[in-house]
Amino acid sequence: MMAVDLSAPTPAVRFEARRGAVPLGLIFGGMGLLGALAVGLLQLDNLGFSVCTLKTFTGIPCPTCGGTRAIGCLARLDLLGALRMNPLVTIGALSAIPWLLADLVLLLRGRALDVSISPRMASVLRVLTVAALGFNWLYLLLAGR
Amino acid sequence: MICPYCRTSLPEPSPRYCTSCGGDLQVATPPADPTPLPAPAWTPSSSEPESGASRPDRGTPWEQRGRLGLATALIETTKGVLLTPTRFFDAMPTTGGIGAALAYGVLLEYVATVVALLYQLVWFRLGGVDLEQFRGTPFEGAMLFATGPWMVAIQLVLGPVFALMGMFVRAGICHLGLLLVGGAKQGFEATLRVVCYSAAGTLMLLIPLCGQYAAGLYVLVLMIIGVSRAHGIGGGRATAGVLLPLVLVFCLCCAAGAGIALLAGFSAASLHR
Repeated sequence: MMAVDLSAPTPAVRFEARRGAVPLGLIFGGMGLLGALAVGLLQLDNLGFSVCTLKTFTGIPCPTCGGTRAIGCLARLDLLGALRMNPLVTIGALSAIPWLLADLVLLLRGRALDVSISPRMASVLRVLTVAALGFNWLYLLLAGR
Repeated sequence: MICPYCRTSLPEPSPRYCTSCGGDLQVATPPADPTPLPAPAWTPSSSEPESGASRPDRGTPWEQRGRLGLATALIETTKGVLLTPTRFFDAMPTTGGIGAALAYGVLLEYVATVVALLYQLVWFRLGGVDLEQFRGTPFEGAMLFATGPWMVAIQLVLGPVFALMGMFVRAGICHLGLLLVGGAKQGFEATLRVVCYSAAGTLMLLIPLCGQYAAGLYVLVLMIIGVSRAHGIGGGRATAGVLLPLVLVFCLCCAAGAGIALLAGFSAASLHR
């Protein structure tokens, strides 16, 4: 067995075009686009009533309140409006676009984008995600969504 | 493949860096005689004798339907998931393709949805829901559409598509929850396979009236047991990973159901560790 240098630094985030990987960007991005199309065509962001159970019973918006309206704004290419409705949902939806495009290009070569994250970076991302969820919810509460 | 540093089982094809300890797998060569993985707890109930020269079959009964036959594979898989979920998910491979698992999940969900639709039509015919109460309210249009012929046609024609999309959405949300609680020891494929096979719980929709509530809860319990076994994590972390996104997104409407599923899933997963 070769001598192993366990002290060699591992990259925090690594992107790889892996053969045989499931094209998740294509799948989720495609569903997101279909969802945006449905929201835009059927005007699901203008129902006239709230579908949020928490808001209906308590008046407090849940962390995803405004999400459908944000998607509706994105369908109309109103980026600022989408960010005002629900920043986290908007950023999440927009970040799926490059992932979708990458998988679309790689699909021609029978590959898909695979992301590897080091354990340390995973811990950092975990904390950042929880913080982002918290700040987003606080924003929704203050904005009266 | 087994990581030479921490001995964690890795999916095939193996990543460049170990998902558990971060070790560079292209630097070290794997041990000459790696410790073999324990044999899966589940064995097929087929009476067909195994050839002494062939390697043991891997995968769930559904993934061996070419050998077992479609009907037997479907029944054995469903029985395994519903009656012995811990043993089933212990034996379920966490890699090896998603096509078969998706096909199973979509088939079961579509069948259950069609039956539930028939119950709904019968219920409305018998006057089980008074649509007059919604007249003049913001819900009037939605209720008329939801109980009308268009919705029936949409669900019958597009049911498989909705079921397929639902699998990925549920798996994505579940995997995000597992990532948040540090429980995603295997890849997304493992979570997706658990979600697909947990769809067997939707057969509870066959129970009239209360079936939709039973189906929802049972699918959650199966998912908790499934991710616990597939990702090799404890019942508490599996429960948190599965229910956290639901609590965040659906809050009050799921609180009661989550509480029951929390207790049932945690108990079931913990008892079978």
